[in-house]
Amino acid sequence: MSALPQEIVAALEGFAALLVLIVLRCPIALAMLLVGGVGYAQIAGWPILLNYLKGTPYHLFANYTLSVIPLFVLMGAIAERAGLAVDLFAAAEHLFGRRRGGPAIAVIVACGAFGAVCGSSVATTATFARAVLPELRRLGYAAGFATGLVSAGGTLGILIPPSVILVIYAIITEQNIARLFLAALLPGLLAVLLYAFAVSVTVRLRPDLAGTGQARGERDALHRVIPVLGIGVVVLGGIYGGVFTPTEGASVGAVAVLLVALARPGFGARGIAEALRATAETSGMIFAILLGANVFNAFLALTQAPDLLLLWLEGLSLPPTEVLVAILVLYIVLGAVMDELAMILLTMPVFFPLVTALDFGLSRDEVAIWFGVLVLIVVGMGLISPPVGLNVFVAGGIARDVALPRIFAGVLPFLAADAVKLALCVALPSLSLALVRVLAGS
Amino acid sequence: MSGWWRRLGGGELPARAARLFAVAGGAVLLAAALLTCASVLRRWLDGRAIAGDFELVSLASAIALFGAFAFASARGAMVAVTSFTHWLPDRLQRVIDGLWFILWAGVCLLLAERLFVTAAELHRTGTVTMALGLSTWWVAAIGAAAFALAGVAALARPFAATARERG
Repeated sequence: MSALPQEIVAALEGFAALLVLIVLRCPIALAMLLVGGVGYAQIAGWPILLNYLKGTPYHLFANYTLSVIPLFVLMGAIAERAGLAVDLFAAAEHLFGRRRGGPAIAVIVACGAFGAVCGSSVATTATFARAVLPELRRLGYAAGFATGLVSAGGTLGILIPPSVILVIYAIITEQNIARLFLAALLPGLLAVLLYAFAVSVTVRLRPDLAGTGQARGERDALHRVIPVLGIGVVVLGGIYGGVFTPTEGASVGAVAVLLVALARPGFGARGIAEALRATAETSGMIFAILLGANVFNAFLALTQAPDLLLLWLEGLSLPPTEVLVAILVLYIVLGAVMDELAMILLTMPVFFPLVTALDFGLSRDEVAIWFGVLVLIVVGMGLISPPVGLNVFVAGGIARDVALPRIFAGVLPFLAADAVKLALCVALPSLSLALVRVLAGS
Repeated sequence: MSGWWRRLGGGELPARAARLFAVAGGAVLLAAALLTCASVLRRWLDGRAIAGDFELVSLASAIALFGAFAFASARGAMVAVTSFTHWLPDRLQRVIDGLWFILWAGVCLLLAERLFVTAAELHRTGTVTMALGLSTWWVAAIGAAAFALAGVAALARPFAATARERG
């Protein structure tokens, strides 16, 4: 048997070292910086590594394209603290709350609407866990199901555009953010429908999980949510329509949400300071991982392993759909045990060129957009999958009296809905591409 | 612990500085968002955006992100996978985490030195932005300070925790 090329061996050693460090509790950003840095130096030499490190942090942090990330995070952080979720839930509860399981469906609908002004899954989960769990418990909902519902609803924060994770995918794969947002819209709405269906089926099979209390719902809340929904429409419509760039859209959204927040009682200088601190913590964490991924991917590029791997796989003439399904299954497994952002940043240099080189009967750009939506869906699944579904931990951190296994059990109907959605989106690329094609045609 | 050190907050001092940095950086980011809105509005009304708006947004977001990085480091807000080691004794987990924080601090301080060299080079070559002609060295210098603060804050975390435990 012929030996593996030295470059592939170096890359495999790098991935192995990275996994060992991650298993040993090393922060993922640090693990990527250490392994990437040492690997880079071994190939190119320490002076060249030091020279590379001189420019990397500055160019990463002072980058106009990347400035869209903290701006969308800021928009979500303000929305989170302004109590907008309470109004969205009250309005949705007024519309859906009368029927059995209605309040749970109202949570899903409200999470979807909140997703239009918040691009973070964790922020959406935390917001709704605080805003609606007491009400669901008052109505008699089973604690595990209610907390699982909020954890799953939180994923709509990224599935409905704008989505920070989709922005990062767009940037690292050099795709158009507006087109990716447009592509994610129908699958996002499908996610809302399927989650609502999952609630209906669950409460029909297990009526004891849904309470019998009287839903409150406020008619007035319908008026109060108009500005929030208006912001979502203006930001996304403006980006889709080419009225402004994603960075401009994020700026307009952040300022508009701030104005709505300031018009509400209880959100003053303290609310702004809290939102700024939350923005800093999330953005700092994201950029630490981006910095680590930059160095690790520079090492991978030096090994030329991704190109060699691509050539090798192309030679095997594997069936495209099976390769895609294998990658998605791997993402679901990886997403269950590690951070989704790091997972994407680490694997995309290998998987993106591979998938876009496969023949699905679509153009390369279409495959890139479709793959982005599929990645977004599996990231959402990873956020609620045991053992380390981040959303479940966030919701569990707020509902401290509910054991994690009960929340993971509560999440199961929504994971099943996610599996159906993923299968539909894999089988029907048009679900992701129809709106993009319509816009391109116009 | 001496009196002046305790009055300054002891091990908490770098974390407080990072928090201040983060809020100030966030305010700069918010100002950039407002500027962008004004630019969009002006472009909509008379077809001309504010000159160099994208450069100002880049610089503002760099300042905000440098502050954010220092704050996240001071808070220990680094994503790590703990599910494989949660069975270890708490004390051993703390020792392992402490070692990673020391390494993290070392990496941050190295990157601070690299950013300082970048700032010196940008200053020496007189590098300016293309549209507005703004010098850029000071942004890299802020970055060097932020990474240094991130490193010091990571090193100070165990001392701050000890001080808190002692009450």
